[in-house]
Amino acid sequence: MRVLSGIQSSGKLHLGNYLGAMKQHIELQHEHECFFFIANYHSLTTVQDAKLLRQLTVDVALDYLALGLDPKKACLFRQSDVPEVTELAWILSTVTGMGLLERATSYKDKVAKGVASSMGLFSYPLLMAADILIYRADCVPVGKDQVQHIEMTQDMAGHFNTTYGREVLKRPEARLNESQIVPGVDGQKMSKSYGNAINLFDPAKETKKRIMSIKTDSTPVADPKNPDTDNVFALYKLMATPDETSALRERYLKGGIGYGDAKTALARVVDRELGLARERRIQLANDRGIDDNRHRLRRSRYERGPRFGGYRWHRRNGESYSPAFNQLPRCTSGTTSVPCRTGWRSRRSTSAYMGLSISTR
Amino acid sequence: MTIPYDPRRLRENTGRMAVELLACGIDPQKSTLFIQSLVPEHLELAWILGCVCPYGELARMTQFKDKSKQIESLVSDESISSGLFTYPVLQAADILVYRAQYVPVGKDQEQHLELSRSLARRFNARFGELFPEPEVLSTETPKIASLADPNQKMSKSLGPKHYIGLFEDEASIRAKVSAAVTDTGGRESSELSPGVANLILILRACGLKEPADDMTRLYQAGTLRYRDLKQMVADALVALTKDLRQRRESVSVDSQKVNRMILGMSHDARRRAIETLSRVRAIVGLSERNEETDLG
Repeated sequence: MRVLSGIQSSGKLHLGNYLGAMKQHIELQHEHECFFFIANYHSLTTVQDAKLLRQLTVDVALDYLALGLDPKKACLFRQSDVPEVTELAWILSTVTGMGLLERATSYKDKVAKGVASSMGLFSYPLLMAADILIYRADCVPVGKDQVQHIEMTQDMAGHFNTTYGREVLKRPEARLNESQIVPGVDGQKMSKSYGNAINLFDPAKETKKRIMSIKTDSTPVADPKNPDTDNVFALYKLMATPDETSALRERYLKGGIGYGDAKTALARVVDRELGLARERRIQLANDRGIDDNRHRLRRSRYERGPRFGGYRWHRRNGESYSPAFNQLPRCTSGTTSVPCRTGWRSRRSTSAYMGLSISTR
Repeated sequence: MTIPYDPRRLRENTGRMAVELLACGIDPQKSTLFIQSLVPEHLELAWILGCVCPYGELARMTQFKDKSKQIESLVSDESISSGLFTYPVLQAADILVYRAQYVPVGKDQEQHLELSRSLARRFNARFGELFPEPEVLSTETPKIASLADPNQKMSKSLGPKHYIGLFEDEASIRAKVSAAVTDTGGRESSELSPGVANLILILRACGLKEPADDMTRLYQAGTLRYRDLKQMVADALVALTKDLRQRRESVSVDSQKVNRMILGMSHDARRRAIETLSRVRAIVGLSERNEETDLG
């Protein structure tokens, strides 16, 4: 099964992002063929500062690699390195009614929140559908708020296939993230905008401080405590083993454990979960750009422009088309080629059916 | 593709269009004639421009309003495609990807060109000076009117008696011209009626400037016989189309060669487009910065 997930950076990641989505997505790599892409075309709808966009792109790659994405198992690539996706988005727009896009709730929400409405924002679902369909993904892991977009993608694939009378595009299925309630330090849902987040890649000391500041009730140390209403326990059980969880539960019910002790225990499991990732992230960040020279060679081939070769032209051109990531961590170079090839194949079959290619099949 | 179409016909029409344009005199030694879909960079740029294009500016496009009304009246339950809505942005990309300075367009396209200019300005202001603002290049013969209704633009969609096909046969051209509307009365005799003015304009556009002036004088003197004018116009058009028909035949003899030529020129166009896009990607932050300097 091919799993696809697009990642858009929104700055610093926190435990809520990790436990609610990222961890689950990364784990899929052990059982399925996974494509993860950094959605920089999408980011462009809101981030219009080149330096920031480049930084966010690199950050996403570093975050995911540090958290255990294995480039030997999964493809991690930059959306803009397979520009065919914008072509498919256009093609989909010709079989997608205005009404469908106008009904997209995330567009309405964003506009209601005061984000300036641009055409990019409006046609976002088209590009998202193209992202999924071009790689013929079977399954897309998403949160609840994205389910509508997957349904729209299914509709567009259906429309395309009916219009052209062939099963060219594969309808993807949504895989809903297991919903995890991740409380922030104040007990509300953890969110960057509430300012209650525990960040993933803050230094250990700061994380510990943050954990110590979690809000608890004022039950005295000796009294029994209710684990089901306590924020510290709620976070603990998300990262501890079942044995550890039941042990702490017993201590809560029996009494005699202070919240300070519970927090220290939580800090220990957070450290265990993230310590390695933190170190890895620093290492990867230092490792960047080592093989710049090789990439420069590849880029000069790309600049010479496409070679002309009739029908296979796109593919051959595509091969030299994708510039390597020399700013991204070294281990990601090369993983783009698989999605590239898949993208070209899709392009060839769609343009043939649509009458866009010049030679008749 | 933005309005309902038949894929097989699209492919055929594309091939025919290429042959006909070459027959009309586009010289591959001087110009680049290429197929839009062979340069997919247009679409990448369209996405990027879409990110700086306010929704409101697109919603104002009158052509979208007109066309969607037209489609609704033809096929009532057919929904308007979002491609039709975003079309002007792709058009802007078509122009800007080659950093074109002039675009020969008709009056009905001026609003779209204005959008291209505004997108170029917005892009330049946000990311850095890259695109020249394209300007309208007006042609000498701005508007040929319909033969059957000289108050409208000559257009295929009005019906067969309204237009002359470039490769139409002689009999049909003569019939259409002789049926052309001339004078409907009710005006000063010295002022050209729209129908007559149109016929004289066609004459002039066919290169017959002096006869056109003569006809105007005769009209003003009140001694013009419409039959003579129509005869002359028909002769001119027959001569023009005969030439075109012959050229089309000689071009289409070797369709393989035409294909090769078009693909070759598309390749040249794409090389230019790739150059622009690699600069665009760099300055908006989709790729590494040094590509910018590498390209100079």
